[in-house]
Amino acid sequence: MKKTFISLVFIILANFSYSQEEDKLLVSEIKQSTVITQPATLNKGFFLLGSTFMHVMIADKMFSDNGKKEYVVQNLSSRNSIEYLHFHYGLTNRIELAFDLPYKITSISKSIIVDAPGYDTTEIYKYKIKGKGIGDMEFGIYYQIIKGSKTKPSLVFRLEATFPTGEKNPTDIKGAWKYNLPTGGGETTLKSELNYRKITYPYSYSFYGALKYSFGGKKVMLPYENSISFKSGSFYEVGGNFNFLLNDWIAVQNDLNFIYKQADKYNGETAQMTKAQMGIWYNPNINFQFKKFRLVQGVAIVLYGKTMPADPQYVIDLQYIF
Amino acid sequence: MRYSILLYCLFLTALTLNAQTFNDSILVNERKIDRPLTLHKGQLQFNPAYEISIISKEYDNNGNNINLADKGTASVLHKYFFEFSYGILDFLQASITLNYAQRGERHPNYLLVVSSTEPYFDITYFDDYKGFEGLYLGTVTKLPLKTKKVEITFSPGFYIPVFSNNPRAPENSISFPSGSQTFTKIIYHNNHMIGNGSKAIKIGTSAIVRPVIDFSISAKVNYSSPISESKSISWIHHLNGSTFIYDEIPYKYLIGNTLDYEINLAYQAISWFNVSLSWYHKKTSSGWSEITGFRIGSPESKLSLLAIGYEIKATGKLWINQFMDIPVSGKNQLAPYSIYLGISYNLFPFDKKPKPGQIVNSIN
Repeated sequence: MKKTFISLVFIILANFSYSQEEDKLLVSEIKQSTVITQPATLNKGFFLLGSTFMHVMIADKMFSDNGKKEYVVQNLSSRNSIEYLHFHYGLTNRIELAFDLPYKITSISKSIIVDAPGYDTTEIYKYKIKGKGIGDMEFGIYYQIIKGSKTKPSLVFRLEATFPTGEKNPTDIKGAWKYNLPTGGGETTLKSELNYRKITYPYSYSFYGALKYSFGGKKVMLPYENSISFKSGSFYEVGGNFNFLLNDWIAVQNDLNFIYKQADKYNGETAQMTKAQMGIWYNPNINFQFKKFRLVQGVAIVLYGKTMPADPQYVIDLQYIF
Repeated sequence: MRYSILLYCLFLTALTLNAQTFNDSILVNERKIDRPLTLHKGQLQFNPAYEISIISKEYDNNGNNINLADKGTASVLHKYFFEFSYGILDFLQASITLNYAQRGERHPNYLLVVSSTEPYFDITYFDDYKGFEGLYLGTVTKLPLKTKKVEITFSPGFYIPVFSNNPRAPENSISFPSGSQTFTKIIYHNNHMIGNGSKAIKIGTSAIVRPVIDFSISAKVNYSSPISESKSISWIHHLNGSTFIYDEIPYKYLIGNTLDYEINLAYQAISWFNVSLSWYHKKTSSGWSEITGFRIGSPESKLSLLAIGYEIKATGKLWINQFMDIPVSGKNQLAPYSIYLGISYNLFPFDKKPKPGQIVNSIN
């Protein structure tokens, strides 16, 4: 009986050691792992240096209150580009620290022809306002509650705080349409997220849910107006993605998510001009892996929404893990 | 013995399931730069693509660059490409192409002040373009040259309008002064079709030269011309209270003759990665339209683009290609900055798989 028991223990131990052996990876393999096979958080001592460029030509199409997608017919051109620099570090095999620095470039243009035949005059007015500068910095900590592996799913808790480091008010005001646009939101926010991921090589899928809470602040909404207290509405997000490798170095990611944002509050009252928003987004992207470099290209498309812009966002992301 | 037979059967079954056709292996080993200008015999190719164009500039009649973004009239063109091609023979290919596009064009806000005592008019103009282009049916024939260093093809084809080119009625609206609104607001929302609704013939030729192992220079020239005049409708309106009433007016038009050419320099950096630099030029002339009630000739238009791009061979069957177009010069044309992302999926649907253990002795 005793021998049988000892044999059984040895067999179980042997199985454990075998299964652990499967998860051992060379350092070079970890650095070159793709978005499908990479660990849920950075391994201890690893850095991720990244750059994300997002461009959206806004105010082309909108989803109305009743969910109808329609053009914004009024004369207006608006561009919004954000360049993010990412610095991530694996503190332990379970904890990752993140720092994201955004740089924003925004412009809004419009033109008006004023025709007064009775006065025999026609005037053309062109307006362009711009804004560029550092946006609101983000700090995050990611913790693997359930440590994932090639065979086991992972569960990650992410906590991200945004601080109002960007300029929150219009500056250099010379007129109603002559000033610099702000590049910051003007309030501190806290976002928490749970992310479950499973790898079934060459596929991976994940489900996530997030909540972003804004703490509010004071800022000038329009030139020549006094600053008012405001608080952005809470933001909810649930989604999932399915990703697969086309070969050892190209992955396709498909992300589908649902967002809901409550209306903002100005001076404690629900702001009439900022209604509650909801939308369903589809974010397909192609992910190229060149050794330690990773290039991601994608388009974020709003499939359906209410009271929100319907313009696609172009995203290009470059990452280097070392 | 029985166990060995079972294992052998399993082995053969696995071989059968994983067997690729001989032609599949041709695609696996063929670099972009080495691909012939026509598809291989039996090769079916599906090329879907998406292109987003930011139209923030246009060229006027004198070729001057007009900044639309500064006027608030920049627009975005979304275009979707669908193409099927099939290699009938190693030197003869047939293709079907159908593209869809949409774009909204804004104009400066127009304020009409009649007098200081009467409410002014705030007028917005908006043009909505969407729809399918004409269906293209064409062939590509390759000259039977005995060298792979040079290839020359001819590509005749037809454009057939399969969808109506009659625009939908406008969606104008008007709101008179009332309450907090002190002016009359009018929105003229006109609808247009992307397709020109004309049958046209196209003839083209292309050539590729591979002077060294990793470089190629290629060029293609196309000329298209309408087969006949076309008909469409325009809309006029009158106001009944606050409701717009629309009437259609038929008119004739002739699309212009189009000449375009492209010169391409490609470099095969590694076996699965190819980069290219292209120069594209398009000129349209000789069209006319009677939309105003008089036959008025269409102005000549030109556009030159510089394109940089790459192709990645993800698998033997799946290729990913991306291009960025930068407008260089033009005349009477919009100047789009475009990003094109396409995939090309290739297969030999009617090719027989070799039997297990069979060695295919075929020479391309």
